[in-house]
Amino acid sequence: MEEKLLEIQGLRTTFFTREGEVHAVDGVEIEIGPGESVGIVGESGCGKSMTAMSVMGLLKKPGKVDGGRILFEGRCLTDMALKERRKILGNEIAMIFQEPMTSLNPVTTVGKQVQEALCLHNKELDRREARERVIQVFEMVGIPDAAKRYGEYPHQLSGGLRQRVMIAMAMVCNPKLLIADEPTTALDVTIEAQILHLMKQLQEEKKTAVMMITHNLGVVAQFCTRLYVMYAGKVMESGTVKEIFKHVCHPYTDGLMRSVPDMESKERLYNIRGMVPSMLHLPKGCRFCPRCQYSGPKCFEKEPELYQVSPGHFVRCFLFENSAEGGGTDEAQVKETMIQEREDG
Amino acid sequence: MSEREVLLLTRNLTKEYELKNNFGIRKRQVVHAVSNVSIEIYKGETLSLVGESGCGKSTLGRMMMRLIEPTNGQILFGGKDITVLSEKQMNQIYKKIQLIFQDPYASLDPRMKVKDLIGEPLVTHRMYPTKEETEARVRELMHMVGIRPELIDRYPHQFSGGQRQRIGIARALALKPELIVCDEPVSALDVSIQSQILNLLKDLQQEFDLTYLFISHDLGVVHYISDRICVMFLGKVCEIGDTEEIYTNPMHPYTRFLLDAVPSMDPEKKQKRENILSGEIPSAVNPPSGCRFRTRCPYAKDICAEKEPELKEYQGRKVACHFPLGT
Amino acid sequence: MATFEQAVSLAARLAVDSVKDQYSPEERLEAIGQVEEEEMEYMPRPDTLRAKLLMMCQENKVAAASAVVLAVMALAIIFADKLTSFDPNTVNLMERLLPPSRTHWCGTDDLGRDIFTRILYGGRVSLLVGIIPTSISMFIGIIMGMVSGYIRHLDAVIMRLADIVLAFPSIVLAMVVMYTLGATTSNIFIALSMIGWAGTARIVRSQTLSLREQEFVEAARGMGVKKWTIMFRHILPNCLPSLIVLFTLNIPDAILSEANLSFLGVGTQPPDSSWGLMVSQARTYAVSSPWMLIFPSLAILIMVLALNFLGDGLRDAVDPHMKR
Repeated sequence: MEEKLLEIQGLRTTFFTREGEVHAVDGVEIEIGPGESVGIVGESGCGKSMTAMSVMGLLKKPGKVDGGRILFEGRCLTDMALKERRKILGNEIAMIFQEPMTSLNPVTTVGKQVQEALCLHNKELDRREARERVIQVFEMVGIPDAAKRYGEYPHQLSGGLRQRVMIAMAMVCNPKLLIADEPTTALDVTIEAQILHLMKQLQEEKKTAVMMITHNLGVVAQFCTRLYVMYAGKVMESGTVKEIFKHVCHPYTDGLMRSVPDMESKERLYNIRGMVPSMLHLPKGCRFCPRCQYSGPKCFEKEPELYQVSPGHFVRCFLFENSAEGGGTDEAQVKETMIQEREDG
Repeated sequence: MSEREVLLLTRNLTKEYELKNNFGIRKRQVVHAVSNVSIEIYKGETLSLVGESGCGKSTLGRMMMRLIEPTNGQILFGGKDITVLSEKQMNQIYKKIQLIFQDPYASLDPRMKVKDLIGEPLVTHRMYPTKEETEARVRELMHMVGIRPELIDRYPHQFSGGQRQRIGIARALALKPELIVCDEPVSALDVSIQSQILNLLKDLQQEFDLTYLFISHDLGVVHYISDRICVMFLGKVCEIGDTEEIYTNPMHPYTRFLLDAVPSMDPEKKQKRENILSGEIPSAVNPPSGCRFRTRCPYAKDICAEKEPELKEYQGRKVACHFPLGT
Repeated sequence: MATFEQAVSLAARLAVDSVKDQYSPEERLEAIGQVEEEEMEYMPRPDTLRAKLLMMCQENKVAAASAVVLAVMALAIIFADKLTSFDPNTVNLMERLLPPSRTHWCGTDDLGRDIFTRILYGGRVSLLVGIIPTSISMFIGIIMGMVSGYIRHLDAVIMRLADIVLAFPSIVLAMVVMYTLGATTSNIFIALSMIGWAGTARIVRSQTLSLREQEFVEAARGMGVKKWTIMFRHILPNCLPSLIVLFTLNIPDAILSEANLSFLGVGTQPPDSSWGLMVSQARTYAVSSPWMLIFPSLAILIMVLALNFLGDGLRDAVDPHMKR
C-alpha cells in the first residue's frame, strides 16, 4: 500500500451536554490516499460533518476530540501544537462549506477575502502579486470577469458564483486535501452539475485529494472512487464506489439506496422503518438493529465489527461475520438462519 | 385526455412584486415572479411543478390558495373564479384546497398540542359539534398517517422531522379536501424518511381520491410521484406533459439540461461535459427579452431574443420553444 | 464469491417481497415501525419555560437570589401589619427625628412616625404602582403591537402614535397628566400606563412581523382561520417568553417613575406614604437626620436592582442569543 495522505484512527468526538456525553463520532477509521476522492455518506446526525470538523479542529464547545488520532502525512494533528496545526489548516487542508452565503463575510469584497486566505500562508507575497494570484484562481474556478468580480461583495453574486468563490478560497493555497461539506446541497441542479464538474476538473489537474461529505448518493456515484457509509457515529460500510453500488452488503446502505426514487422505475419506494436514534440513547448492540429487517437476537446484544467481505470492502454487520474468517463460506445460510431465528422469537 | 374533469385552471396568472425604490433615487423595479401562467389540474392526478429556485413555483402554489394575491389573471376552481371571492366566500374554498409545507419544524405552532394542531381546521370550520367528536376525528387522522393516536397530547418538538410532516399531512387531510398543494414536502427530510412520506402521500391519494399539485426541485421525487409535470423557468412555463414522455423525450432544451444535471446513481454512467448547462439563472427583475431561457440556451437563434415563444401543442404536450427538440 | 452473491440476491428478494403497491393504515404503521414510548422520551426537546427557569436558578445565582429577595420584600409588604406595631400615619411629635434604635429600627421622621413602618406601608403603593400600570400598559402595548404588526395598513398610524409618546420626555408627559387629572394614586396608574405602552408595542410589533412570516401562521391562514384568532392563538403565545422578561424589566421603571412624580410633588399625596415621597420629604433633613433619606432610598435601590437582575436572568434564560 502506498502512503496515505490522511489517516483517521479510532476517532472519537464527544459532546459534553447537560443531558450526558454524546459520542457524535465513535471510533471512526478513514483513510484517504493522495489525489483520491472519498465520499462520506449518511443521514443527518450520523456524524459525518463532525468528522470533518474534528479534522479541521473547528469543533465548538462542548465538543471535543477525546480519542483516536488524525494523521496527516504521518504527522498527528491531534497532538500538534495549535500554532503548527494552523500552518497546515487552510494551507494543506482546506474546507468548503454548505452555505456559501454565511461562510463569506458580507462587508468585505470577495477578492479581499480570498487574498487574505492566500497571504495568511504566503507572507512573502506583496499586494499586487497576491491580487494577480487571486484573479488567476478566480479564472481557474470559472468565474467570468474575474478582475471585476474581485471587487464585488458576496451579496452581489449568485449562489453558484459564491460557491465558486468558496472553492477559489480553498484552492488558492494549492491544498493537498480538500474537505467539502455538502458543497452542492444548497444549489440548484444545473448549478450543482457545474460545481461538481469544476471540482472534478480541479481534482484531476491539481491532484488534490477530496473528502466529499454528502447525503446524496448520486453525487458520490458520480464524483468519488471510494465511499464510507456512516450511521449514528460509526462507519457501517466502506469500499470502492463501484463495488458498493454493485454489491451492497449492509442492510442500511441497501435501504438507503433503495429509498432514493430513481428516474427510471415507478415501483413503490422501499423505506427503512423507524427513525434515526437519538445519540443520547443509542440502542444496545448494533446501532441499526431496531430498524433492520434482518436483525436477530445477536444484533441486539453485541456490536458487530467491520468484517471484510472482499478485498477493501468492509461491512459492520453480523450477516457477513463468517466471510471475514477466510472463506466466504455460506452467507446465504447465515442470513436464512438469522431470519429464521427472528421469526421464531 | 379531454374526458377528464378539470379541477383547477389558471388563466394568465401573473404575480409581480415591486421593489422598494430607495427614496426615488433608483428606478422603479418590478420582480416578475410568475408571468402569464395558464395550466389546468385534472381531478385525481398529480401535477408537479418543477424548476430551480426563483422560477416561481412556490409563488404559483401559494396563489392557488390566495395566500399570495395574484397581480393579474384568473384561478378557476370547479368552474368558479376564486380570485374575486370575498374573505367569507373563500372559507368554503379553504375547505377544498389545503397546503402541506416544506419545513416540518416551522409549519407547526410549537406551543400547540397535536390535538389542537390537527383539530384547528375542524374547529375553525365547525365540522363537529362536540369536543369528543373532534378528538375522535383527530385520532382517526393520526392513525391514517401512521402516528399512534395515544400521542395526541404531545407537543410537536417531541416528534422527529418525519413524524411532524405526517402531522402536517393529517392536518391537511382533516377537512377532506379535493386538492392538496404540496410545497416541497420532502426536501427537508432525510432520504430514508423521504421515502416513507412519499409512499404515504401515494397511499392517501388512492384512498381519498386526492388531487396533488406537487412542487419540488428534486427530479427523482417528481418522477416517482407525478402523472404530469410542468417545468418552469423564471416565472414561465417551458413544458407541460405526461411525466414518462417528458423524462424519456424532453422537448424544451431547458428540460433536457435539467434532467441531465441530476447526478446518476450508477457510477458507470458518468455525466458528460456537453450535458452541463453553463451560466447562471438570470435575474427576475430584468428578465431577458423574448425567450427567458435564451441566455443559457445553446440552441438560441436571433428570433429567440425578439419573440417570446408561446406554449404550443406538440404530440400531446405543450412546449414553449421556437425550436423544440426532436421535431 | 458465489455464495456471497447468493446472500445479496436473497436480501434483494426478501426486500421485494415486502414491497406492495397499496398499504392499509395498519400495514403502514408496521412498515414505518412504531416509535416506542421510551424512545419518545429521548427526542430532542427544546426546554419548556419551567425547565428554563430552573436552569436559570442553577446557572445564574444572582437572578435566583434576586427572586428570593423580591419574594421576601413582597411578603413583608403584604403582612406589614403583623411585622410592626406602629401606625404609619399617627403623628407623635415627642419622638420626632429619632435615630435608629431597638424600638424604631430605621428611626423616626420629622413627625415622629416610624420609618420602618412607613417603608412597609409605602411599599404597598410602590408595589401596586409597579404592577398595575405595567400590566395595563403592557396590555395596551400588546394589542397595539400585534395589530400594527399583523394588520399592515394600521401599522403607520399606530407606530407614529408610539413615536410621539416615545419622543416626549416621559416624566413631563406624566406630570401633565397628573396636573390635569389631579394627584391621586389611581391617576398615577393612568399616567404611567399612558407612557409605558409604546415600548411594549414596538417589541411586540417586531416579534409579530417575524412570526407572521412563519409557516405555521401561513398554514393557519390556509385553513381559513380568522385574523384575530391567529393573533391570539398563534402569535401571542409565541411572544410570551419575551413578554415575561419585558414585564420584569418594566416594573422597576414604573416604580422609579412614581418615585420621581412623588419627589416632584405630583405623585402620592401625604399623609399616605410611598418610597418616592419619603425620599422627597427627607430632602430637608438629609444632613441632620440622614436615616430618613437612607432607608427609603435603600428600599427603592434593592427592589429595582433585584428586579433588573431577575429580568436579565430571565432574558438570558429564554433568549438563547443572549447567552455567552
